[in-house]
Amino acid sequence: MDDAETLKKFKSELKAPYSFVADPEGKIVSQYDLKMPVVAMAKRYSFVVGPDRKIIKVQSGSDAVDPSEAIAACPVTKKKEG
Amino acid sequence: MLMGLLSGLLVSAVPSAGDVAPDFTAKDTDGKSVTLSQMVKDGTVIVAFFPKAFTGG
Repeated sequence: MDDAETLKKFKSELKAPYSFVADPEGKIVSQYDLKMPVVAMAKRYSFVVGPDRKIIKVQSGSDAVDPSEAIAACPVTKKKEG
Repeated sequence: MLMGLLSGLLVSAVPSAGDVAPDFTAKDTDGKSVTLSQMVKDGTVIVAFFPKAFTGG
């Protein structure tokens, strides 16, 4: 739930080749029910989303730090973060 | 508030495998609008949420 400016810096520091989407008001975070209690932050989750938005794989917490399993679950690899 | 907390505990709405991922449209850091339902037409998408930029992990 960082603002766009912070994410832009983060993306360039990581030299990340995928998109970062700012969600400062937590709208998408709410849609996925990932709001942390009290603090304005999202829980760490990765969703592998296939055709017709069907979820192929979900990882959370420390399992979601290393993206290699999520990438392995992709028939075609594309990445984006929000 | 209490009811909200209780229903949150009883019914977790975090999507799981097999569910349809909630659609969203948002601007990326280049100002480009991205929509999940459009992106999945080009291939599988990993939607990753993290607590805060510049934190470990």
